[in-house]
Amino acid sequence: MPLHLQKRLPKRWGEAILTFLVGAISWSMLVALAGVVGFLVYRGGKVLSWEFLTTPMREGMQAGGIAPPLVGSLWVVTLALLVGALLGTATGAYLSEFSPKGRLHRLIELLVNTLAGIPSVVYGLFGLALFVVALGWGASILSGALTLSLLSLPILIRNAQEAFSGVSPDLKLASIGMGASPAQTFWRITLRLAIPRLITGYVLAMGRLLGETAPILFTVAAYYLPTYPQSPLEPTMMLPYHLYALITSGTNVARTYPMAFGTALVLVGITLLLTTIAAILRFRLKKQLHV
Amino acid sequence: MYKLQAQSVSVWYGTHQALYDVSLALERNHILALIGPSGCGKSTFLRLFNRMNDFIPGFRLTGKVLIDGEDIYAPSVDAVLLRRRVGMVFQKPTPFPFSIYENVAYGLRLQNRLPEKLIRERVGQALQQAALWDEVKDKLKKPALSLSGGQQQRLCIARALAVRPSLILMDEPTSALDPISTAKIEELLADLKRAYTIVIVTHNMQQAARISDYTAFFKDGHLIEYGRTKDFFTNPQHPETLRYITGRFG
Repeated sequence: MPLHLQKRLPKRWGEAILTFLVGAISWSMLVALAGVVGFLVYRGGKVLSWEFLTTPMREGMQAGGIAPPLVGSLWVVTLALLVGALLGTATGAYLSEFSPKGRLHRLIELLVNTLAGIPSVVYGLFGLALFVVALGWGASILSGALTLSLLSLPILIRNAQEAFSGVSPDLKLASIGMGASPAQTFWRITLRLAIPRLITGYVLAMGRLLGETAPILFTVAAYYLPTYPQSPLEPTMMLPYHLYALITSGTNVARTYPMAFGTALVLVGITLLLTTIAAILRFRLKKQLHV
Repeated sequence: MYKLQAQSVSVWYGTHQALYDVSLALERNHILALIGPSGCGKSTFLRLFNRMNDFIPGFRLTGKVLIDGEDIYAPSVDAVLLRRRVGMVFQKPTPFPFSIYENVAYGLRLQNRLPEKLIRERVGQALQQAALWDEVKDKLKKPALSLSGGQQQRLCIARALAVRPSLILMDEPTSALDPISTAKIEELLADLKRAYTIVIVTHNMQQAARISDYTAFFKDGHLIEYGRTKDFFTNPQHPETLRYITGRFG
């Protein structure tokens, strides 16, 4: 009996159209991203220079660089990430590996989901009330960093939960079967194998925190302070707020607009850089761990 | 004294009863094969002996499970310490993504700091006992995942042996392996019997007949028949057993 392999199947139009649509939409996303970056480069590219990145602003923000907000942003975000990663990873580990899956577990999950839905300006207000006023730390790097770390918690908890529960249950059971306690299994197997995904999450969270504006407004960001912070209890300039200041408060738009676009370009550039680093790290660590 | 004993053991998961009043006993240095259709309770029974069922929500047990005469579900027993005395090999090979050496050393490193010299010795011995030494002795630092499936399973056996357990549990250890690897592991079991007591779950009745001294047949949570393997397959006492081993269901 002949197999009729050469016989054409009826064309599946629905499938073809769907494939085309999905493809077109993903390409248009890429075009949109390229458009944004291209526009920033076009408007702000010419102010970019080594000097722009490494010197303070001069002449009431109409000249000079963005070094103080750049340094300030990196300070605050790094500190926020340290605190957020520690708390978020610990909470994620508890939820994914240790908590009895009962009422308390569901309550914490509900709280985390609720936290994720709170507008970031509310976090700013909370940081103002707690860190700036009640604890008396004033508008400072510490207050701002802690506020941002709260904002990053839901993302980091989710990320840690997914990283830990993504580790093969067979390996966890094998470890338990070897006579490892749950804690030993966590340190020796689960945490070790979750590291690539954890780090990816940290770096992506850092990228997100860098762009946050509302939570830093009342808690740390200075409008004009062309010096570098000497202690975590001092305020500092930060990139997103500096961008806002350049756009809204300049009297000489011809000079400040290009600087604003340059600042935005630096912000986007750092985020893209972090995303790339996350991808590379993840790939390398995965290879090293053979997972 | 028997190496292991189950005395009227019944097990529930929530409201579902998985084992009904199971009693059996096994002497040391013997191999016990557990057979029966899927869902008959043989894996549940196997995992009673290292308390791996403890993690399943709703797990409840009545009756007694004894190893060397000691009730392992007594409140004073630490399940973690118990698992260090009872080795387990799973259906799928589960090497950790470490080096071959570190895999075998895993159980040893869980205990209080042993000198590296002793660990090296034990790793070597365990790999020899698991008949893997000649194949890996020159690449102990290589990742365990670079080994073939059969080698990985023997590595898992070596990993279990390194802590010198008093009992070894195997849950269908060859069902994911090719015939040659299976034959190697069966050969290995015959050797290991001299030093260890082994309980093995298998889907393969020929395997049970080839390797075990005693066979227990489970169905729907009941222990239908238990006896010396040679009598079990030549002269089964229970009609259900006859039906199963002649392949009429399962």
